[in-house]
Amino acid sequence: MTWDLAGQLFASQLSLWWIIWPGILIGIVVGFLPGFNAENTLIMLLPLTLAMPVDHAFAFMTSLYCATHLGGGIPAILVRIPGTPGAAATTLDGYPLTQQGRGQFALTLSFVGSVFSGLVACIVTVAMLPWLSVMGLYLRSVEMVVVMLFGLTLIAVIAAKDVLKGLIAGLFGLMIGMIGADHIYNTPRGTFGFLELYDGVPLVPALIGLFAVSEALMMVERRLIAGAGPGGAKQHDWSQTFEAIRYSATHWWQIVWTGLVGLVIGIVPGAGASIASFVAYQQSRMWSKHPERYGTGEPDGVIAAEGGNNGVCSGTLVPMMALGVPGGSTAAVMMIVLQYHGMVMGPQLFTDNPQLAYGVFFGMLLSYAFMILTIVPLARYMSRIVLIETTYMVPLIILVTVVAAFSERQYMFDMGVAIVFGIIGYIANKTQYHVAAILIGVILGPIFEKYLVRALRLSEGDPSILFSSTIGNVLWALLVLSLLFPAWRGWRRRRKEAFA
Amino acid sequence: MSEARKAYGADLVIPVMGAAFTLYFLHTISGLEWEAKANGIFVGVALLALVAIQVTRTVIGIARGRGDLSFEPLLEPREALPKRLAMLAITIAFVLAVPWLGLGLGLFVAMAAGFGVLGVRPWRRAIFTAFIVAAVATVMFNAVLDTGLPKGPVEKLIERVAR
Repeated sequence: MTWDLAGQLFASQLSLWWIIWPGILIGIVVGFLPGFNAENTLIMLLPLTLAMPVDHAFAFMTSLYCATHLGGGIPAILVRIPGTPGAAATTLDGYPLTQQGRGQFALTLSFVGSVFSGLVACIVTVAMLPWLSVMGLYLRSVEMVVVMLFGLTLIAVIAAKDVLKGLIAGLFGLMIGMIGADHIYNTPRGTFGFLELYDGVPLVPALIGLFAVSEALMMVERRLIAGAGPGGAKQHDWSQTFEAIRYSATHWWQIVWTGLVGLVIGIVPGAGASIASFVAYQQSRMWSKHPERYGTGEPDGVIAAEGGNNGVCSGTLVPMMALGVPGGSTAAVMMIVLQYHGMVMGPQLFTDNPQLAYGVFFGMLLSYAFMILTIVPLARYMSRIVLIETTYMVPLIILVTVVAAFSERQYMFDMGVAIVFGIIGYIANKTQYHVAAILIGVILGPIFEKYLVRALRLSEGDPSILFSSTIGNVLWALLVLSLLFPAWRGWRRRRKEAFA
Repeated sequence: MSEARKAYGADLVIPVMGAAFTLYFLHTISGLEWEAKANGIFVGVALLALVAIQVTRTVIGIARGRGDLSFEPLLEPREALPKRLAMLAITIAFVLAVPWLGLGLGLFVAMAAGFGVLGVRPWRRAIFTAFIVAAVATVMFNAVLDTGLPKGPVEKLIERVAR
């Protein structure tokens, strides 16, 4: 791609500002609401996008998609309810910051981290598209099993205070994630006789229960969400916003590499933002000088989770555009719109229609630029939500999110699922079994099983196939390293302290 | 209870739930082909082993006098417990009643009851806030997002008037 073409694309995408901005606003609202995501919103808006010219439709869809990833972090930070599964890792440090009266700081960190990691991922995608596009081809079921196990190891690391409890929570989540018909014979397993569970445990009600309902039940014992932190919950000025911008600027490397982690994981079909954000969070914690601060309101934890979450956006589009294989369900909806307009996805898209192929990523760049201008000034006002007394917040959160649990599949049953997970989440919270570990298990359960069974079928049940590929073996080594490295660092730290 | 004493009973609730579910799951896959049960056995056995370790840890802890089998952390603080249980009951009643009352009326009643139970006073304020929330939620979920939530007397009346 030449600089001339880049200039032309930038100018043409800039002229679409009037369609990018509504996309951003809708995306932020949709991301904020648990139960709604870019995929179901784009489906609802199909009559609109199908009627638009293709470049307009794509600019609208990508801006909405990127903004949902950013919007999901807002309730995750303020009330510990991730708006999207990808924002679950943001709760780990975002919410403790809010409880310390630093909600404005956490929100601004999240916005700056999201936007700049998204920008970095976008620029790298444009620069390296030919190479990135074939990356997905090297990851087969064997490598995917290891990628999934990589996600699972996070369970132990996230719950570092008590690894046994973390593992029990994670494996309990995995067992729950296995509920439903198996992938080969379609026989129901562990469904308690409920037809509604044949497709597996619905993710949105599980997320709402584990985070929203359980947290609201915990809130009953407090008058306000925010405590009296150093900034104080009632701070009215912009100081926390500027502090967060300064912090992000001095920790730019954190934003860059977590965005790249998100990009790489986004390219892997089926992995998605939830895994990306947890992997980025775990890696950030592993390499940090202060891993013990993670989970207690560490700003780098917020940046890492949001960086991974937003880096995914560009990555998801790569296999769709370069190979014609959608990297996720949202990309699949976008592909429907493009095919309706007669676009043929695949390598020839970049030679036949470079304006559209590369223009998408320039549109994303502009979306991120507009996003930061729109959202950062609002952090100060959004953070006031924690000043509402819990006597109002508790019924509001429980009842409205339980209603939202209905929206994914439109089953009344799912509202009950949210309540059951709410009770499990409450018990887990009170006894320090990490709800995030349960959620990771529920998310990874069905995906892990799909790839494991596929790999085992290829080898006719021989498990040695899991160690048969070079890439897979490199991934195994990295997995072992990420398990051993924190233990080694902890041992070194204890040794130093003993000698001090 | 002294600060050092642990409530092992509460700590065992999640492991016991996990173990019970695992045993049930293993029972449901007992007659299936290996592809349908490989993952369940792999994860289930690992979970049961971890639960056994947790139970052993509990037994050792109790034997050494570090704690007891109480469930105190789940119930504390005691003064919040009735409110918590009432809120849970209201939510369950709301889910059961929505098919008949519809979203608007159901949410209004449940929200007002929730505000009342948690101590929002005067009642006029609780009812007014509940009305606003229910109205906004009805417009958002039914009119804007068309989520297909059950329609009750209020929604049917609005539809009739709109026609």
